Formats: sequence, structure tokens, C-alpha cells
Amino acid sequence: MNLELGDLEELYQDVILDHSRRPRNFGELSDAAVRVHGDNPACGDEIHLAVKFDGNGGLEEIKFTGHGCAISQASASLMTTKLKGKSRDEVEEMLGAFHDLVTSENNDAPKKLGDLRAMRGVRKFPQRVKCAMLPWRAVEQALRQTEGEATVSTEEPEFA
Amino acid sequence: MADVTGLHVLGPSRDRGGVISFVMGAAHPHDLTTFADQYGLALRGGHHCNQPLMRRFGVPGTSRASFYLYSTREEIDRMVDILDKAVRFFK
Repeated sequence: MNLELGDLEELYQDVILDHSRRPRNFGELSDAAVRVHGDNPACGDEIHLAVKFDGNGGLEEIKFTGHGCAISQASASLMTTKLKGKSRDEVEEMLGAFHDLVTSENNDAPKKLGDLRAMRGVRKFPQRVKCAMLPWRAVEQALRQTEGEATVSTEEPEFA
Repeated sequence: MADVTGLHVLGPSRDRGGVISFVMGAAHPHDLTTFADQYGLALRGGHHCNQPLMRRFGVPGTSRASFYLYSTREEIDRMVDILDKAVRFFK
């Protein structure tokens, strides 16, 4: 039996378990401009993301509710702490960097990702990449529209 | 399995088949199955294509172990050890 327990410790780092148990920016945003529902029907993960833009289209406020596995909930919590107050360009840059972090074997986890680097263990678990990416695909969709509601699903062919 | 603290076995305790569903308060079924997999234990996790029933019982999904004629007592003991480890890991 080949026990890769290091992978497990790397996936479920303390910061991940902490964010999944005590998610930050968790709650409703009554004056949200856009609400995006992220759905992972295969797993049952759900993220309801609400954002408010500043005058330049940046993320003035970002909150979420939802339920699911530790990876999806910690990813959403870590994401909101990182993206709050960021400009549109910064959000897109961070999205690309995060996707690379959780999918690329040779990623050196750039410093600019901060606490998000704790998610790098996901790359060893391909079936969990969708859990980690769900809140990020939701925020990507939120940037595409300036108001209203939308749904993103992990079952869409272009997901992950 | 009923002796593992933090584990809740669903369904009757006697006169049942070899398919045992259970939930662990500290861990979502998918986190538990990922953990178990790393120890060589194959559990199925999720809503088993049965979302209405999961909603009815108020659980996000369940984990499920399946046994058959070839399953041994040693394998079951090992499974219980791994589940016990998982409770401590995710607590």
C-alpha cells in the first residue's frame, strides 16, 4: 500500500480547515449589484456569491453563502478575503494565478497569492479541482455582467 | 462502526444488507472519501443520485461502505481504524 499521507496534510492545511469551519465574508449582501449561484451538482457544493462594484467596476464588497465540502467553502472564504477591494484587472490576474496554482504541477505558488497558496494541495487531487474553482468561476461570471443574477455550473464543458 | 465517536450510522442496526450509509459531523462526505482513499479504503460519498432523500434527512450527502461475501473481519477492523483517524483529523 502506497500511503501518500503528505498529500492529505497538504490538501487539508490548518488554514483550509479553519476557513471551512469559520468562513469569512459569509452572509447576505442586501444591496448587491450581481448575484451568481455556483452549482456543483455532482458533489452538491453550492456557492451563492453577491458583489457590489465601486465607481471603476472594482469589487467594493463581496460576500457569499452556501454549503459543501471543506475545499469549496474554504476556497470561497479565502477568495473573498483576497478579492475585496481589488480592481477588475487585479481580480482577473488573481483568477488566472489561482487556476494555475490548483491545476499546474510545476507551479511555484507566487507570493502575491498570499493565503490562497494554502490551496496548492488541490493539484494532487484532480477530482477536487472543481470544488476549488467553483467560487472563482462565480466571481468571473459576476465581472461579466454589471447587474442581475446568473448561475454557473461545474457541468458546463468549459468549466475548470 | 457504531462505536466510533462522531460517526452516525443510518438505517436499522440489525437485519440489513451489506450496504452501510453513515455521516460524520466533522467532515463532508467528499472530504471523508478523499481521506479514506489515501489510506486505501474505497468509500462512496455524496448524494447517491438521491437528492430528495438527502434533503428529507437534512444531510449534505452520506458516505457508504459496501460489503460482500469476500469481505473479511480484518478489512472491517481496518476500516473502523481509518474512520476513527478521520474523526480526529477533521475535528
